[in-house]
Amino acid sequence: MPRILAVWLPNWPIQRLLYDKPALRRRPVILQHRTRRGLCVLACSHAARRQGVQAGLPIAEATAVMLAVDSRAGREALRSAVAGQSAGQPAELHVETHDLRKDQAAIRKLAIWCHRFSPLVGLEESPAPDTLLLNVTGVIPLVGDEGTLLEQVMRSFRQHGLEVRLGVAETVGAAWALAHFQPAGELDANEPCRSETRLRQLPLAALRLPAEMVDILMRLGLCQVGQLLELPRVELESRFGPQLLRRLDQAFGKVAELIQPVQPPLDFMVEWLFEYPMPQRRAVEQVLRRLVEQLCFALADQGRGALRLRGRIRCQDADPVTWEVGLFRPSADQEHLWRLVETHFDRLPLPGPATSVVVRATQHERLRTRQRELFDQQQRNIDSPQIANLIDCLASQLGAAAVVQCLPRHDAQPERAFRNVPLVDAGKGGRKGPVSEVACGPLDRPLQLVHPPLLLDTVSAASDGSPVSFHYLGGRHDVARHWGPERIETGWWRQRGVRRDYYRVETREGRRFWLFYCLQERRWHLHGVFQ
Amino acid sequence: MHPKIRELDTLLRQVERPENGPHRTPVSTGCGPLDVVLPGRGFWRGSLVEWLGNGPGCGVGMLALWAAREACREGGALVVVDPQDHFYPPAAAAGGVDLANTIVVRGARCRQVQEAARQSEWALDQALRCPHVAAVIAWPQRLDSRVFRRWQLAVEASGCLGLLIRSAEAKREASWADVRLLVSPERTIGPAPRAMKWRLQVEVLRCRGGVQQRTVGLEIDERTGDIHATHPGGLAT
Repeated sequence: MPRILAVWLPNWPIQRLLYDKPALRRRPVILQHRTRRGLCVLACSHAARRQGVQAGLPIAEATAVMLAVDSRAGREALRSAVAGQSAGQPAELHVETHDLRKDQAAIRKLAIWCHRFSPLVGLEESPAPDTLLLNVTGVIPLVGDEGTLLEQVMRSFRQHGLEVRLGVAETVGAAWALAHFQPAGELDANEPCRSETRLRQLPLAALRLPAEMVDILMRLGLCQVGQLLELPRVELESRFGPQLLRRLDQAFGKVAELIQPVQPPLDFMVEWLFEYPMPQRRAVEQVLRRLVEQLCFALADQGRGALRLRGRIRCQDADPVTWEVGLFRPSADQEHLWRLVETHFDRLPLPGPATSVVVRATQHERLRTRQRELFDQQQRNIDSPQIANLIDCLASQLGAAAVVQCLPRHDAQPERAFRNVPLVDAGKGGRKGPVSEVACGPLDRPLQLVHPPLLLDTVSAASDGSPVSFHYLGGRHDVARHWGPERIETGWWRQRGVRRDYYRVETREGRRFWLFYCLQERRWHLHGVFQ
Repeated sequence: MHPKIRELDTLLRQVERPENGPHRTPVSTGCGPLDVVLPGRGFWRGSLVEWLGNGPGCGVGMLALWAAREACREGGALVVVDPQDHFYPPAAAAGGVDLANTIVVRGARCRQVQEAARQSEWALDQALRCPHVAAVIAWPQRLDSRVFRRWQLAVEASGCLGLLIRSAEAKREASWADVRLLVSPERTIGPAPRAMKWRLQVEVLRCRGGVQQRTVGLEIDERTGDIHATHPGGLAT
């Protein structure tokens, strides 16, 4: 018989906030959210509730309530001080905007943590889940009995400062209902027949029905689940739709309800512990190679490829040696990964005999597989596996910042008209999106940019301001013709604005250069060579 | 002639024939008048081309880049090995190079100049060996003959077109390149012409399989980038 344990975390947004910021535990805390009526209280802590704040109250009212309480407490404190008695200072109200994503992420983490109690853990079906569902069917004999398991779960959550309510039943619906609506004192294990009896006595909201439907049913005089069971099913379905019967059947086990499992993130880590400190580098290298092979096998088994590998070699009486390898695209190819790791290992000095070696895929993705085409010409682009291997190899040896893709930017300042995006930049959203068009003629810009611009010592200029001759690389260049000026005046918002008049010039020898006259400095610079 | 010598001569000619390599398909130089004079009407894939620039501002890099652009037309990535960080991508894009398909290898952070040069040589070697790289452009400074030979074998194996841009001073050095070209700007005599054209001269210093003419005069249109011979038939002065 299946046994499902539901763990409800009442007031989860507040619990999550207090868990993240323990300093707020002694203060009244309000979580606000924006509604059609403006900012309202979504949830509040016990301390705030004691002062009269409720969920749904407009924030202005809630703050006013708390201010009134504060002033009253302040007066009492003052009176106590005058009377020579000690009195606690009123705690300051803390108001924060609700973050649903943080709540969701935190409860998912909690679900992963709960794998210590059950191999199958899921969350309730809700956009803002606050209940964990654990399938403990085969687990109970391992810990003794159901009561022991409940005690263990309760104690573990309390150790983390989390308040929970538990419910065990043979269906997800019943367990959920018992966790939410069972009186707090009755946490003992429920026999199947007893849980069904209890379920009949619970209010209609225990069936996980929408609030509007519960409201209608209550106006019809139906308050308990048992009352619904006495009504003809056909009429219930025709009046309230299929949802009501589905929830009812799920609670009583007539319709199966599956727990959508929350899987713990895949952790690809391999480790080797030497029996005694290993002084031979060659032996450490062999171990490292074997670990990389094991890791590749584990990755390939899950259809994953490593994007970033991190390794650590612990040495006797010395700090551990670490290295990291980034990849352009996910790979589980043993030879390729070993080549990259070997490049780093060759450069690593081992300060002492090695005691352990750990290799971990800190970032991994699903392996991309593509069917081969008859003519592989179309696959010979930057995304092909061979190019990916080349990029990995280059980045591993030269550094990730040295292997880049240059993307044009819409910036008038020439040196800012592109950006270098490292190709091996996993996790930072490196090479993405199409490359924007460049709006200039084939000979408008030089292929070789001189950066920073080279200050030209001697330039003679004509009356219209165009250059006539200049000195560069020890020689005099007489300008035969020029194109310009092209005024570039930009960057004032960067605090270092530029005001330049650019000229493309062709010398008497037919050489082409890109010069500019800086209007701020009143000097000539060479910025490019048409090489 | 002695039959043995004749046989040896035949064998040598067979080896010298450019179409003997495994990847020997021609690719346009991106410059029509130059295609006309080269055997196979362009460069051969799987070959090294050495572009020697006669001084600064002579347009040698631009011609090499256009050749690379043509090599990438049928697929394959372009790798630019630029240890000195001089390569200006917007100019390449304006010349028709697809930057989305271009990998730029910038200068590695090395303390020693020799180490940086060695790293660049290694990067170039790796790129030339990759079968899915259509063309590689690099600006090597000094070249060891063994390194040069290794690159030649690498391109032969991969079918990549290696474009090495060097100074005209390298003319005296031994070369393993299949084609060696010297690019010079054409001198303006008298008043500057009004036409929006840039005139360059390309001298074929070496070419496996021989050439019809040794010098080609080029005229590049400012607006369109079209290249024409300065004299009909590609003959220069």
